[in-house]
Amino acid sequence: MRSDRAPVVATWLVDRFCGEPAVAGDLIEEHRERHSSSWFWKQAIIAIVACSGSRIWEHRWLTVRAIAIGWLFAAVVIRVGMREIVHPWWDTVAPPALYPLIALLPWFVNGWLIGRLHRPYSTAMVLAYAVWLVIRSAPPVYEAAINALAGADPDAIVFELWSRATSVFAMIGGGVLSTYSVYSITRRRRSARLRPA
Amino acid sequence: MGKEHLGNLELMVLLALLRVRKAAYGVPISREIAQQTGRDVAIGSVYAALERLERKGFVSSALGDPSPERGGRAKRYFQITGTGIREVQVAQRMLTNMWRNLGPQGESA
Repeated sequence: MRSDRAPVVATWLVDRFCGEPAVAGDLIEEHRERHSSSWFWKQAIIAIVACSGSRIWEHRWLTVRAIAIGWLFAAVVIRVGMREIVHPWWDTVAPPALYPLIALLPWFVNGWLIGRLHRPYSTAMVLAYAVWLVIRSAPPVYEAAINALAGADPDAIVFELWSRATSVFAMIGGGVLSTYSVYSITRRRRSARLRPA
Repeated sequence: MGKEHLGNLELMVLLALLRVRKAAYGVPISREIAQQTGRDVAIGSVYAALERLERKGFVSSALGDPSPERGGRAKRYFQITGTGIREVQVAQRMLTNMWRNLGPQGESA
C-alpha cells in the first residue's frame, strides 16, 4: 500500500530501538521518494534487529548481566513473591479474575529495571532478555502442545501461549518506557544544539 | 594485520564513502552500494555497520540540520578517517593476494 506519510508506529519503534534519530529520518526520506508502507515496515524491522543485534554482540557481558538481572528478578519477585504471597492474598481480597492483570505488573517493572540499569543500551538489553524469555518458553509450550494433542488438557496451550506472550510484551513495554525520559532529554538537547543562534 | 577485521558490509560501506568522495549520510551510502553491487542493502544494516566502523575509528560522524521532510530529524554525515583508508588498503591487498593465481571462475591456474 502506498502512502505519503510514513507509518507512525514503525517510526516510533525505530526511534526507540535504534536511539539514533537519523535512521528514522533516512527511512522517512526514502519512503517519501518511492516506497510503500510495507517497505517501511520491513526496513524498520531490519533496522531494529540490526541496531539491537549489533549492540548485543558488541556488549556481550552487559547482555549476560541484563539476562541475569531479569532472571533473578523473575525468580524472586514473580515466582516467589507473586505466586506464593500476592496471589493467595489477592484471591481473598479481590476478584480472582483480575489477578492476571496484576500479575503483569512485575513483568513491566522487570523490563523497566533492565532498561534503567543498562543505559545507553537499554532497548538492546531489553530485547535480549525478551529473546531469552521466548527461548525459555519453548519447553513448557511444547509440553502443553503435546498434552493438548493427546487430549489431556486442551486449554493449557492457549493459557501458556497467552500468559507468556503478555508477559514478554509487558516486559518490553516497561523497558521501552524506561528509555522514554532519557530519549526525550537527548532529543531536546540535540534540537537545542542544532537550533541556529 | 590489525586487530579489528573488516566485515563484508563494513568494507562495502567504506568503499561507498570513498566513492561518494565527501561526507555522506545513510541514504546515499545505501544507494551507492545498491548501484555498484546490484543488491539492495537495508538502511538499518548500513547504520549498524557505520556504528561499528565509528567505534573502530574508521569513520567519523557529525550531525547536520533537522529538516521537515525527514520528520524534523537531522542527517548524520559520515566521513572516512585516515585509519579507515589504511584499513581499506590492507583489505584490498589481502583480497588481491587471495585472488592471485586463480582463474576467472576461481579455479587454480
